[in-house]
Order: sequence, then structure tokens, then C-alpha cells
Amino acid sequence: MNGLIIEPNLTDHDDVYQCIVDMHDNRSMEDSLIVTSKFALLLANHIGDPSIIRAAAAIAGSKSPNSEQPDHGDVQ
Amino acid sequence: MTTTDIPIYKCKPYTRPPELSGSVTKRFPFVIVGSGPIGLTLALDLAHKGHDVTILTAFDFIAHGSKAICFSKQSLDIFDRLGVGDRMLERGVTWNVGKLFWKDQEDPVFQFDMLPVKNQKNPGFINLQQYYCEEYLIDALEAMDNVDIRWGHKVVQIETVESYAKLDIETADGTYSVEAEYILASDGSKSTIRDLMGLAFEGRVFEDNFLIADIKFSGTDADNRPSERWFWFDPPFCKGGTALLHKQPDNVWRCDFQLGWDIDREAAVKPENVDPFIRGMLGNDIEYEEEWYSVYTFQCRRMNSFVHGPVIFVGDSAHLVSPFGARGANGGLSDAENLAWKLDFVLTGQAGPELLKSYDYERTIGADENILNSTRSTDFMTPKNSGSLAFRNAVLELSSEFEFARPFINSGRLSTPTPYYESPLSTPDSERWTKGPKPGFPCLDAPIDWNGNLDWLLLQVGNAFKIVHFGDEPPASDFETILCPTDSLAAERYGASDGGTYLVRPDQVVAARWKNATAKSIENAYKKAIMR
Repeated sequence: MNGLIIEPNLTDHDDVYQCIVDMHDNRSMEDSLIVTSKFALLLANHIGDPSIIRAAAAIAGSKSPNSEQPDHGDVQ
Repeated sequence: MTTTDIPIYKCKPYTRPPELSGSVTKRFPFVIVGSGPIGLTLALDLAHKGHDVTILTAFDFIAHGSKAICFSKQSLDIFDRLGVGDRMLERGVTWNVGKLFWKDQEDPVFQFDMLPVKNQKNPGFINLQQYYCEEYLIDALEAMDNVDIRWGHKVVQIETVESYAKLDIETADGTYSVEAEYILASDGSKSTIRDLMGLAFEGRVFEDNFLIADIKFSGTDADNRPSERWFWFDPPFCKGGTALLHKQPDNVWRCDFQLGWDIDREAAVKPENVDPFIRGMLGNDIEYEEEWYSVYTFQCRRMNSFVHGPVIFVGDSAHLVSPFGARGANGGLSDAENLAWKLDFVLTGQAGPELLKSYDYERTIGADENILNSTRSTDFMTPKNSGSLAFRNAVLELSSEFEFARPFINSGRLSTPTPYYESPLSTPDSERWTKGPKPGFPCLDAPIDWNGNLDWLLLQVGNAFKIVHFGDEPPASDFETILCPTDSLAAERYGASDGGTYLVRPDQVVAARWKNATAKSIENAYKKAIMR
């Protein structure tokens, strides 16, 4: 896949996950989208290899059978 | 909840205490308050070590109902050493596999094995109703002549003096007092002792309700269902929430459904309201009867310190976690085993009272790890905002195809022993080790061969300080030594295929290890491990 790593490549998933979701504390959906976009741009710049970024974009952007419009923006 | 609301599994006899029959009030070395799994385990451990044990419990019964059900490998190792492990294992439902489902997909997005390291005596987990666990511990305690379980003795007042505490105890025959040098408060999440002492219990309350439905299959298909932990994110029968299914002995199944915050709790447990959830999860054609339905909320909190002068808190009285990860009872059992040997050393004069401070140090590490893990699980299951919901769903969506996403899925990080990083009792490595449990880490199990008889390493270590030596010539020491060949699986797991020596604490934690041990280095490490 053009060098994009799709096997597990982290040691502490829970730490990383918490760091990611903590960015969204007390934010609206629109705000969260901006935060996530900045985050993606920073990582894209760090990676620096367009072929890797294109490979990741292809996976992330592909429509899977499960994807649907979020129907519960306010989570209970 | 008042005592009369609690369902009863088995009645236990109240007996009139000698203190109310004119016997002179003596000062006990210690008393245990509470008759849950933690207090009973602590009692059995101390009784095995030869101490006279008195348990005070407000109840005169073993409670029925939905409580702890998952007992971890480490808890089974503890029960083994106390002689009750096999009975639990025989009765319990063994499971190693967990499956995760999302929405209405029939195939799991991911499945995992709870015991990736094979060739250990005990499985990753068993499911066993808490009342069986308590019953087996009580049977073992009642068979000993140095144990006095005082059913129906409720502590109503505590007064701590510097070197002891005085308790007022209410019974059917009136109130009496005892004094004890140590009070071991294993009296649960609503600890009377903690309340009476006015001690803070800080943390986070989660605004969510969960329905627990323990049901008994009456149909024939129940036996065909696999003994696995099934977990659903956002299933059709519990929209926007999570659900969990666990098998217990006697064809009882635990079904757990997230209901949200603003609900009518009384209505939620009515059979007609529970039924759609159960049929949604298990299918319309099943036959079942109610064993016990309840709604619970949970909290993650702990006391700042578990040791308050002569009063030591153990289990839920000291710390509370969400149920996801089975870290409540299992974490409490680790407390009990950590405390038992230390208190034994203090009571017998082998160590000074400051050794008990290391219980506080080590078990607050354990509690913090359990709270962190269970908080993170909860945040994954119930995202707090649309941003984190999107990440959660992205993880689940990617996971069926991409392996890298699967380790992010968090439906509860199931309880494993906590390493005691930088414990004052550990002697850090002075040589280079690339493998094996470090000082402060729990021992690993492995099969060992005693002249052709299969045994397990963890059955041999524990209960006392011991040396585990890999090789033929153990160093001189005062400790009982377990010899393992260097070409064994044990040696490989302990990174000692070229030889090596471990000093192991009575709670099966590594105190120190050496490539080239000497009598002097072992003696020094032992002294450090008991703070002498």
C-alpha cells in the first residue's frame, strides 16, 4: 500500500486515543471538525510523503457499507 | 439500600458475643469489618498464616443478586494459594474469548483472546456468581478453628486512638465494644467505617444508568451458546448505547444494557420492559426466567490514602471503578493479598509498622491504574461529544478491515496484575535483563516438571518469601528455593535461559533478581522488601 503502514504501529493505544478525544472536550461539532482538520494537516506535513497521504486518504474516503450520516449528534 | 432490601442467598447464624456475657473485653490484634469477597479472602489468608481472625459483619446472610461475576487469572492464583481455587474453577464458567459487535452486523468487528500466554495453570477469567465465591471462602473459613465470623454484628461507632481503635458494635442482644490494634475495613462501597470517620472519597460520577438482567435459560439451546464475552456498540436493541453478555454457572446469563441518564429506574426493571432488550439481544424464540434485575450507576473514585492510623481500607471501601474491565473485585483481591503478608510481618514482629505504608503506596498505584483504565473504557463506550463519537465510530468502521485500528477498540481493558513501579520494596536490576518480570512486577506462571510430575510455578511460589533459581547451583540463602532447569519454559519466561535467581515476595511480586546472586545481595534485597 505505497508504504502506508496498516498494521498496528503504536505501543500505547489508550494513551494516544485519550490524547485525540481530549481535543474535543467542550467543543461543538463544527469546532471538532476544525480541530480534526488541523490535526490531519499537521500529521500530513510531518509525514511529508504525498504517496502515503494519498494512500491514507483513499482508505479514509472510501464509502464502507456501515457509514451513514450520524443520527445521534447528542450522545446519551 | 437497607439490609432488608437485599436478596438472600443463604442465611448465616447470629451468635451472642462473649463480650455481652460478662467476658472481659480484650484488645484484638486486628478485626476485619465486612464479609464480601475481599474481607473473606483477607481473613482466610491471615488465618492460614496462623492468626486468630475475627470478622464483624452487619449481615446475617450471604447476599444474592447481581454483583461481581468475573474473576481474573490473578484472583484464581490467589484462591489457589488459599485452597479454594479449584472449587471456584470447577464451578465457574471458563472463558478466554471476547467478541465485539457493532450496530446490526452479524459478524464481530473484532475478537480477542484474554490469555495470549498459554501454558499457565489458570484461565484468563472465570465467571462465577459472587455468592458462590463468598460461600466457598466461608466454608474454608468455617473449617478452621482460629476464625470467628460474627454475623449480624454491625459497627456503629469507631474511635481511633494512636495505636488502636475502639469499635461499638450493635447486635440483636445489645451493643458492645471491642478494641483492636488494626481495623481492616473491607465493608464495601458504602463503607460505614469510612463514613463514621468522615473521610473523603473523591472522583468522578458517571451520569449513566445500566440495566443488569441476570436470566436463567429454561430452553434447551442455552448449552449450545459459547462461553464468550460478547460486547455490542450501538446495537439495534439498545440504540446509541452498549450491551454486554456473559455466561455464568447454572445456565444463568448476565445481560447488561446501557439505558442513558434520564430514566425511570423503577420502570426499567419491570419484566415487561426488560423483555424487549433480552429478546433483541438473544432472539425471539428463547425461553428464560428472571434471576435478578437491577439498575446501577457507577463512579470512579478513591480515598487519598488507604491507611489512616490503625484503620486500613481494602477493596471497594477504598476505591470504586466502573464494572467494565472486571477491576472491582479483582482489584480488591489484589489489595487483600498485598496487605495480608505485610500485616502478618508486622504482627509477628518481623517488620515494623512502616511496612504498612507500602500497602498504601502500592495499592494506590493499583487503584489509579484501574480507575484510569475503566474511565477510558467508559469514554470510548459513551463518547462525551460529537468529535469523540466520530473517532469512536471511525475506529469501529476501520477495524473490520484494518488490523491497526483494532487495538483502539476499548470495551473494557480486562483486569491484569498491576506492576508496582518504583516500589520502595523493590531492588532495581543491577545487571542487564532483556526479558522476564522486573522487580515490582507480578510473577509469571509456567509448567514445571518435578521428577516427572507436572506442577505449576505459581503454586510453588507465594505465601512466603522464596527464591526461584534457574540452574543447578542455587546461591546460599535462608529461603526455601525452587529450582528450575535453564532449558524450561519457566526459564525462558523469566529471561533466565543462561541462569538467574529471583527473590519473590509472598504476594508473588518480584522483589529482586540477579544473574549472579550472592547470599549478601539476597539478604539486602529481603531487608529492603520488608523495610527493615
